[in-house]
Amino acid sequence: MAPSRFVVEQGHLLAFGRAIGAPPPGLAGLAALDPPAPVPPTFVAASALHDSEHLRNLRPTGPLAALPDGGSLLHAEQHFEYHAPIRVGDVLEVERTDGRRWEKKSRHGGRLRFREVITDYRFPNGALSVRSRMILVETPPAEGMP
Amino acid sequence: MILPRIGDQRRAVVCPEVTRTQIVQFAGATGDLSPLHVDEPAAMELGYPSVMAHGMLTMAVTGSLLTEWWGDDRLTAFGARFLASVWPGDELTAVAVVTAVREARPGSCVDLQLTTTNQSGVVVLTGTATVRMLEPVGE
Repeated sequence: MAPSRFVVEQGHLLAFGRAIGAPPPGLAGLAALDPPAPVPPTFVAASALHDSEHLRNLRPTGPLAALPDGGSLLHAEQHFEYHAPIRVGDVLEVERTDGRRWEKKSRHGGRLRFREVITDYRFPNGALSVRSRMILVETPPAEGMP
Repeated sequence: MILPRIGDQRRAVVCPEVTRTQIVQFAGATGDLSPLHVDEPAAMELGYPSVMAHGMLTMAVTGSLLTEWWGDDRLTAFGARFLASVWPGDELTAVAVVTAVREARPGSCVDLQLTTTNQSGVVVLTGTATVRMLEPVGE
């Protein structure tokens, strides 16, 4: 996948904070601090909104796009490594690569296909800020996790 | 900040009630518009009782326990496994327990075990986190 730019905007951060129940005054004051406070630990997961290919033709795209066979694609695990804090006003380069793939038998005897998606968030000078490792599992209908 | 001890813990209700509105808000804020989260007929067609919350929503509210305890710039790692679905109406409680205090240079690192449960005691998320401290081990 070609790298995309992730501009860390206060409005986006407010929307994210509202969705997770964060106290609005704290988030509203983020940009007023000097330097601005770091964003919440999982905020980079919202970077898809800045990908110009995301939701093209109003259909889910990217790692979490629906499976063509009608099965479920579920997010089984998520891991973040933090190297430097991200703040409102930062502009990050986002690069996604495929990681490992493996299979397991499900409790019901079916086949579960796992795959990793690695996403690096870097500052303009190339320094790594956050590395995300998402583990996805493809399951048959009605056999799943969140 | 004083270094914690192994076994120290924090517990908090990190989401008093998951609502469909919240799930839609989170979908809009993150761009994850999977039908499992925003299209109830489609989710039911796949065999689910309703839309479900994003695993990342559960992880995000669990993360709020970490930032309230440790501040917002000390995390070096945060990982989660999503073990059970979270549904509208669920109440989520997160617990973070110190499992190790390790020497790191400079300072030290604190490892945490995370568990988030719903109102029935079902574990919906387990995870780990590591926090960097300026204080060295032994002080």
